[in-house]
Amino acid sequence: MNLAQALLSGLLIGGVYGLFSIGFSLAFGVMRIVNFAHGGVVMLGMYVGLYAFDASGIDLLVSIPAALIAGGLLGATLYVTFYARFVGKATLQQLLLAIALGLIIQVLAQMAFGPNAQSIRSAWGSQYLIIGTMFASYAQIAAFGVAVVATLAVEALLHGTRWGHAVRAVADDAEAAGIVGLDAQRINLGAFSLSCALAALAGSVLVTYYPVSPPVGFGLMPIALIATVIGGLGSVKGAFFGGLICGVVEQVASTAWTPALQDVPLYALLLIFLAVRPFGLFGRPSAH
Amino acid sequence: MMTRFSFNWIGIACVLAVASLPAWPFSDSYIVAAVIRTLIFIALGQAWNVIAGIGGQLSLGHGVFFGLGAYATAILFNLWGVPPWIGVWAGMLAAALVAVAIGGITFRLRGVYFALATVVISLAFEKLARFFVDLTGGDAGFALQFLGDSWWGLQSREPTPFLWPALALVVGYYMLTRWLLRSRFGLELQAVRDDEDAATAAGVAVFRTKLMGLLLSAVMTALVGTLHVQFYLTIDPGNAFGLFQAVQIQLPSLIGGLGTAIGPVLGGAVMIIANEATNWASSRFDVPGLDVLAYGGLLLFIVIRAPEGLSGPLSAMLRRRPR
Amino acid sequence: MAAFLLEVADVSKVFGGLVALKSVSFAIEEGEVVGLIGPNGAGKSTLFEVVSGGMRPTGGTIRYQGEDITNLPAHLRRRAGMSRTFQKIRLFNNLTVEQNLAVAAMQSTPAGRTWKSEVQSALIRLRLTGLVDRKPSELTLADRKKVEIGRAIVGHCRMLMLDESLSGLTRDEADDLVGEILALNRDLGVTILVVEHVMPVVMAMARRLLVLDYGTIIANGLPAEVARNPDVITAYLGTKKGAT
Ligand SMILES: Nc1ncnc2c1ncn2[C@@H]1O[C@H](COP(=O)(O)OP(=O)(O)OP(=O)(O)O)[C@@H](O)[C@H]1O
Ligand SMILES: [Mg+2]
Repeated sequence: MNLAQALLSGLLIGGVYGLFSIGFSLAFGVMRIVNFAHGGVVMLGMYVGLYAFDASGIDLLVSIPAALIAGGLLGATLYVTFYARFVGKATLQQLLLAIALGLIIQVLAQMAFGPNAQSIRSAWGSQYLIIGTMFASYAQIAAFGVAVVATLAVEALLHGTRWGHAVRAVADDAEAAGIVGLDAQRINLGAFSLSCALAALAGSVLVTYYPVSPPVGFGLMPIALIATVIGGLGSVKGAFFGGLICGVVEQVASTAWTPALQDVPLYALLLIFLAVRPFGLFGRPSAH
Repeated sequence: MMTRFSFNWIGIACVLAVASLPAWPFSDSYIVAAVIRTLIFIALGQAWNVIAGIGGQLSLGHGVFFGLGAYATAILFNLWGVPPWIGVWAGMLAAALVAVAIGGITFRLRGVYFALATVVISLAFEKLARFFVDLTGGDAGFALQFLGDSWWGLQSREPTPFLWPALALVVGYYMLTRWLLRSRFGLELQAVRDDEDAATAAGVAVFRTKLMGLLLSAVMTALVGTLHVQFYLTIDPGNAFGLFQAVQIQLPSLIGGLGTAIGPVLGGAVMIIANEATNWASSRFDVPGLDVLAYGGLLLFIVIRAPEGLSGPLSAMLRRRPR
Repeated sequence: MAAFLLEVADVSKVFGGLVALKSVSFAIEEGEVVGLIGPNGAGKSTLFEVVSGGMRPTGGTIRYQGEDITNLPAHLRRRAGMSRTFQKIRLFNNLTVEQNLAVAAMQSTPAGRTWKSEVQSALIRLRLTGLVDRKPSELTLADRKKVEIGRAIVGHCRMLMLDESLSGLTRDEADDLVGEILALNRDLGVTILVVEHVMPVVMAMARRLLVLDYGTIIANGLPAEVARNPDVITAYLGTKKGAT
């Protein structure tokens, strides 16, 4: 593998990293919820993709709506039953709640789907596009495409619609938004469902070329955390670019160093950002 | 007055009962070992409680300090023959250095940055421990060279000799926490926990306070790590640095009562009973992951139903009694 | 010319695009009681933050006791005797009243005294001795405000900045607190800078008024003069709020 290949692969997988990070960042930006169960939802999305394809031969691009709906419903349920009472401040209780939910999702998935890693053989997943000395599977390219489209759609939703403005108003100052007559709880419910729908979507495209097993969920969390901090906690487009950076750094480290430690430079990157630019690439420095 | 007095006597009676455990008729090495496990568990909870409960800084990666204590002692012993009573200092020093690095970077920031950094750092250590096989034994972990009964290596065939140091540690940490809650440093930590801006306005050096709190907690945790590895004679990356370990460290204080002296002690005792029950159940019904499910469910229950832990209602009960 | 205790020179503060303070300059002598007034959003709390060190100014300098403290960390300003309260009360909610004061007293106990005696005298002065073991959540609003003031004056306190300490209190409670505050100035020589919306109260308390509007000082002088100042009248009539 050469460097150009690493960059290409990194960018492609980085797109999917970006996709699940924007959901995570959205939940934090709007509700200050650090959802450690986010990776669990990604993992469930992967199983949705897997079973849709294996059981009924539904093409993966068709299973996307299924993943979105399943993720959205799960998100709404989680929000109403658990997260609603922890909106506004990332307290110890909230973080622990999320970790507990993540653990429970993982164990339940293990009971339902078994502990072993499973992967799909999609029709176009094993075909490769060759560009000079580089190659990329069609599945990766399609996943990247979905990620870019979804990110743009979320950006458009947040900045171009009434609902998006309401969400951003609640994110800025829930109290003030309440005075203007916005129903913060309902808007949060929508935003959290969207966050989980995006997670499941990311899972359903990730599974086209990445094997799924229950621990994958927690395994993906560091990337979401790092991408989000690099991009600027709470920023959607920041999280997407953060995801791209994570993908590239990881693949380059894997090529130039060793796959076993491909994530270690990411951890270093996080610490560097925290030390030098804690508000990230797209965040605003706070007043303090 | 009356209640505080009797409360202390109950405590002393419990300590004496545990200390004399090996002499009791029904006691055997299985029971003694279970009690030592509980004590280690409690001590970890007490150490975490210092920074998270009293200082309000949400460390989700305390496994790092625990793992550093355990690995430093074990590696020094196996590879260079350095005895644990010297290795323990190396472990505490390593934990202190990492604490200063994490705190130095994140404590100038507010909010979740510290929590996120601790998660990520513990994962980094887990990866590194799995990779550097020569040093750490990799995935399989690390077994301490066994010398049999040895003062030099602080090892023993029987669990009993570990009972008293473990008990002393728990009692020591309990006294330390009680002192901390009333001392200047502890009041500063609590002020920072309650409101950083107000603490600054009261003249508290917030950054320094958080850093010292983490330092103390990290060193306390590393010391337990050493005891752990001497007792179990083995340590592996998941056990040392993993997320599950980090959650386990938090449970005693959460169950017993965050930021109190008695909380982690009560919580740890309750936890170990739950632990034994799930172990029994998962082997009986052959459902892997039942213990994780139980921990998850317990965590969920505490967070939602009993955020104050056991000591909240308990101390309210004790306070009501005299009237 | 008397030496000033506090000198604010050309201070500005910008939030993103919003200019909250625009080249603000004024000075306060030791022992003065100065009122800071202005319509909502004028920048009063921001000025407090900048002076007490909670925020760094975008430009300008702040001098205290003759020294440039523009870059001095906030907790060291408190230890040098510059105290403040918050517009929205902020106490240590899990500590007792006594501990709330003790934390502050321990940071700046004057030489030759103990923090315990400092806490004791502040408690007596504010008549809080009966509440030492209570938690803030068990107190009335008036008592919580007193605790916050107690935390500000305990130990070494030379200058006290109060941000709307009277709002939300009944008439009697407010009068009572005004009495306490003026006694601090009279008995201990503490210099006081107060932000207050209720005009009659501030007119009665302060011997000098600063008026802030859209981040600029538009008037600075004796209360009676300021009340007649046409700029001040427009500023207040323009917003209708605040002036009562
Ligand atoms: N941290 C901040 N970030 C952005 N803008 C801020 C911040 N703090 C204050 N502002 C803005 O600065 C301006 C001045 O606010 P400030 O709170 O200082 O006014 P004030 O005079 O204290 O008003 P009030 O009488 O309502 O307390 C306002 O427009 C406010 O919205
Ligand atoms: Mg104000």
